[in-house]
Amino acid sequence: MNRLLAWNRWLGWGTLLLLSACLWMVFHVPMDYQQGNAVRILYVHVPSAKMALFVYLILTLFSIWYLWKKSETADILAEAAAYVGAAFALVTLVSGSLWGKPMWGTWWAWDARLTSMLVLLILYVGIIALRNAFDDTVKGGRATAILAIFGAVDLPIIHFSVVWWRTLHQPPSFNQSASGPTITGPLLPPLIWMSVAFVLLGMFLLLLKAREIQQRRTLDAMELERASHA
Amino acid sequence: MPDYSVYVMVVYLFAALVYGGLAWVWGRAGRTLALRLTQMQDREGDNHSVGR
Amino acid sequence: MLKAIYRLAWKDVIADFRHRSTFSSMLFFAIAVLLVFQAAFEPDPQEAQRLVPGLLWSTVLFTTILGLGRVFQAEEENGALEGLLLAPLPRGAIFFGKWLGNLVLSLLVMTMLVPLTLVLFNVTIWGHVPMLLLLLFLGTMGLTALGVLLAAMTQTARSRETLLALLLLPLVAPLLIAGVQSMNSVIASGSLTGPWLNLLLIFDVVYLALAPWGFGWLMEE
Repeated sequence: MNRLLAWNRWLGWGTLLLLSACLWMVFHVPMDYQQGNAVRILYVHVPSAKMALFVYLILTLFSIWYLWKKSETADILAEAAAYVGAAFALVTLVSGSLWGKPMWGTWWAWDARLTSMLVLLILYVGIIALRNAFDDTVKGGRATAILAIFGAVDLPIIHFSVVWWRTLHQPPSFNQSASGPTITGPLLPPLIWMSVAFVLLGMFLLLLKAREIQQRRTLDAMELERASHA
Repeated sequence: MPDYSVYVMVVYLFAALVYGGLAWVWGRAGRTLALRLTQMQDREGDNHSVGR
Repeated sequence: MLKAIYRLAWKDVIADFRHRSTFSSMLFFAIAVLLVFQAAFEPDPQEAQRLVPGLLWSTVLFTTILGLGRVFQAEEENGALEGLLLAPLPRGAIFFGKWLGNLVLSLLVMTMLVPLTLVLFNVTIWGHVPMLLLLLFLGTMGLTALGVLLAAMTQTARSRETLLALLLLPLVAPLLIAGVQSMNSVIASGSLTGPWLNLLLIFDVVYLALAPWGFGWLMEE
C-alpha cells in the first residue's frame, strides 16, 4: 500500500495531462445544434455523475471487505472514498443545475436523477459525519461500514421510487431525452476520454486522501503511546 | 441561439476549484503529516527504542 | 425465543409508562408539529384534505426520530447494554425486542395522531381512517426497523440526535414517497392496493430482514 501511495504523485501528473488534453478536445468540438455551447457542460457533468455512483460502489466493496477481513487498509480506503464521492456528487449537482438553467429554464427540477443524486450527496455527508462522531476508529469504522452497506441497498429503492414518483404521479415536465441527452457523432470521443480521465482523477484523489488518513492514524497512535509512557 | 459560455465557464471553474482544491489541500495535509511523523520517529529513536 | 423478544419489548413499554415517559413526549411533540404546520400553511378544508397524507407522514417521521433517540438511552445510562448482550440470546432477538418495544409506542402515538389530525385540520374523511392507520402501521414497521439500527449505530457517537436525523431522513425517502402516494390513492379512490403499497411492503421486508443482521455486526466484540 505504501508503495502505491508513493507512486500516486505520477498518477496525479498523468491525470492532469489527460485532463488538459480532454479540455482541448472539448473546446474544439462543434457546437450542438440544439444546445449550443451549453453541451460542453455535459463533459463535466456526465463523468462526475458516473464517478459519484462508481465511488459509492467502491465504498460498499471496501466496507464489506472491512467487515469481513477487519483489514485496516480497507477501512482507510472506505473513509477516503466517502470524501471523494461527496466531491463528485457536489460537482454533479452544481453542474446539472447550471445546465438546467439555460436548457430547462430552471435551476432545479425534481427530476428523478437529480433527486437521487441529491440523496446520494446527503448519504455521503452522513457517512462522513458518522465517522467523525467517533473517537474510537474501530467503532467508527464498523458503524460507517454498516451504514454504507445499508445505503447501497437503499439507493436502488430510492432511485426506482423517485422514478415512479415523477412518472406515475404527474406527467414529466420535460421530455425524458432532455434530462439525459444522447451524445453521438463528433461529440462522443471527448466524452469517452473525459470519462477515462475522471476515473484516473477519482483514483488519484482516493489515494491522496487515503495517504493523509493513514498518516493521521499512525500519528494519533504514536501520540497515544507516548502519552501512556509518560 | 443565445451564447451560454458564461454557464460553461462557471461550471469548469467550479469543477477545477473543487477537484484541484481538494488535491491541493489533501496533498499538503499529507506532506505536513509526513514531516511531523518523521520528526516524531526521530525523537522516539533518541529517547528509547519502542518496537515500532 | 419469541417469548424472550416479547419480554424484552414488554419491559421497555412498561418502563416507559412508569418513568421514562417517551410516549407522552412523543404524543405532545406530534401535536406541537401539527400546530406548527397549521400556523405555517393555514390550509382551508379543501387544501387540508390534499395535505393530510404529507402532514401525517412528516409528523410521524419527526415523532419517530424523537422516540428513537431514547431507544438505547436507559442502557447507555446504566451500562445495561453489556448485560443485555451477555444474555443467552442471538443478537437478532435482542434487536427484535428493542424494535417491538419502540414499535408499540409509535403505534400507540399514531392511533391517537390520525383522529387528532382530522379534527385539528377540519378534514372529514372519517371513513378512510382504518385504511390510513393500516398504511401508517405498515410504514412504521420498516421505519422503526431502520431507525432502531441507526439508533444503535449512533448511541455512542457524539451529537447522536442530530446524526440520527441526518442519517435516517435520506434513507427513508422511498418510504415517505410510497406512504404519501398510497394515502393519496386511498383518499382519492378508496383503493388500498397499488404499486405504492407494494413499495411500502418491499421496504418493510428489506429492512426487517437486514436490520437484525446489521445489529449483529454492530454489537460484535
